[in-house]
Amino acid sequence: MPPISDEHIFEQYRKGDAEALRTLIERHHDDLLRFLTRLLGDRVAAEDVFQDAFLQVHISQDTFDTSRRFRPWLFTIAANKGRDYLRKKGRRRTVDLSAPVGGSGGGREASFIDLMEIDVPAPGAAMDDAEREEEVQRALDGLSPPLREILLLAYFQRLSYAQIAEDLGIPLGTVKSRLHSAVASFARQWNLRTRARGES
Amino acid sequence: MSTDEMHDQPASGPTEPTPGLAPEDQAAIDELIAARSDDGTHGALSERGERLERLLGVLDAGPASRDQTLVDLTLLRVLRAGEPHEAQLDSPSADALDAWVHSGFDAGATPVAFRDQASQHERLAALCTAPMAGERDGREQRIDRVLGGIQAQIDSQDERFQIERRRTGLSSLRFADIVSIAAMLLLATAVVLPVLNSVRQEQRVALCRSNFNDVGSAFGMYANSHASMLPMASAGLGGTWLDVGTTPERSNSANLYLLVRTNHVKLDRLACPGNPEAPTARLASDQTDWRRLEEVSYSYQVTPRGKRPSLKASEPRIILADRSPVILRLVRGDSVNPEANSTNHNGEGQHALMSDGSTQWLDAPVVEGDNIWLPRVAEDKIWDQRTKQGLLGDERPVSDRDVFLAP
Repeated sequence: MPPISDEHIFEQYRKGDAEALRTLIERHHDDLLRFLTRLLGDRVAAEDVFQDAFLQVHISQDTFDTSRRFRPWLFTIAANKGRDYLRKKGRRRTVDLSAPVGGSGGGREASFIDLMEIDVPAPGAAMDDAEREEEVQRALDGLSPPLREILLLAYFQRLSYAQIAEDLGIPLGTVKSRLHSAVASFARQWNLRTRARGES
Repeated sequence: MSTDEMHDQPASGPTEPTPGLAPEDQAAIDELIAARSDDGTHGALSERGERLERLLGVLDAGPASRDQTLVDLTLLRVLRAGEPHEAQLDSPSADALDAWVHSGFDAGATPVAFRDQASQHERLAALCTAPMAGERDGREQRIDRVLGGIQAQIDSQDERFQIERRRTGLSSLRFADIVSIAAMLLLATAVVLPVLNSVRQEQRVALCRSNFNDVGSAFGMYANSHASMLPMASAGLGGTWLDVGTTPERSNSANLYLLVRTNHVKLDRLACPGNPEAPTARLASDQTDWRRLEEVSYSYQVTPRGKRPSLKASEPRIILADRSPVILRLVRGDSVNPEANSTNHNGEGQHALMSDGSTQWLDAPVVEGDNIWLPRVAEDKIWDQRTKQGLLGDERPVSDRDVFLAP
């Protein structure tokens, strides 16, 4: 028997079943908290925004179209809240002076990333989890906030370009080019870190 | 340029004199400049020269401490200036990304040509989405906090709602408040309604008086064209003055209706506002009378037998009045009070149109001993019944059940 859909559970919540929301929070707890931690680079802030996001879900419950999917709606709300958080905090990202600086060519042209040349560990590969988490976060921190947001939304929501464009309210072409750039930037940041780690 | 040469320069300001140095100080400056070597050291100075050096030393004072962060940031900016401006995927990687996205982020579902790159994308994404250490710690407490926050929001909304309701004063009314408001409404109704009724009654009286004026004019016009005679539909009643409509040729109301038939007045002028059953639109063209007594608003004079109503009279007399209450009650079989006023104006009085065309308001239906609702013969009978002569003092009750009390 297939599990009851998020949309059906949320409809039950809107009809007054308070426990339905707990089910939804439990379902999306891990992914959403991880998404926010990656987006904000701060676990404590992620927990605050996590709470804000579900509070907003409650407040905006009447605006949800049950013919659409709940998860992308939730993640979009969380991304908006995360953006608000960063804006309010006027956060200046910590300058990582130990960050490897690339640019072997020394020019200002765009660098083209060949993904097959990037050393990406397969899931479960031997690597210290804590170390990898830290490196991933540092690589993400090297991205501008818009690129980091679209990269994480794509990775966590797994939506088509058209759906992302609709959720974010930006043109489809922009979504595509921005995601390409975000993946390339992340790959480069990751590659620089793994190379630096190898050299050290 | 020596200080002497500097002093030889013309002053730039036209008005403000440039403060000058004493010749000793000028010499000290020259001494200091001459004594300084390229490495910043200098030989012995005179006392004035040393003081001047200390003074100028103030200008060289830098920040108390060095801002290492500023240095680091500056270095970082310099280093990053050499970075490539923006990273882009090369064409195969970009195509693979599109294929991976289109396949629902499943590398296995992408075309074989893109599969390797798509798998690489998948591994890259997994770096970000992989579970993190300790992310499930305090999971239940966190969920409870979220739900608690939402419940607080709900409670806050409820409280605001209650405050709003209290502001509007709808829900917080106690029974006593409702009773008080109801009492006030009743009181207001008791005060206002009679006033309103009074206003309406006054309006009806005014409209009725206007009718009488118009009908008086109509009588005058009719009389002018009929040798001072007033309307009379038939040579005589023939029947009774109780009749209306059934035998129009013999009813007294048919005489009054003749004014309408001869277009001397419109029917609505013969409709008192106090009579809700009075027709205002002209009845059928062959209609010669009102259809029933209730429709009649005004009572018209009944002439003695063999006489026609006319305006030829030495003294003004009443020829029209608001409807008689006596005839209405007689027809209905109710007891009659000859002193009652017309029902057209709530029994408060009646209008009376005089033969001279004037209209009067009568508080009672008796004018100079004459009751306008009754012929003299009926008045006499009633008078006889009411006077001492009507009761001789020897009358007795007809039975024990006939209660009669006397002095």
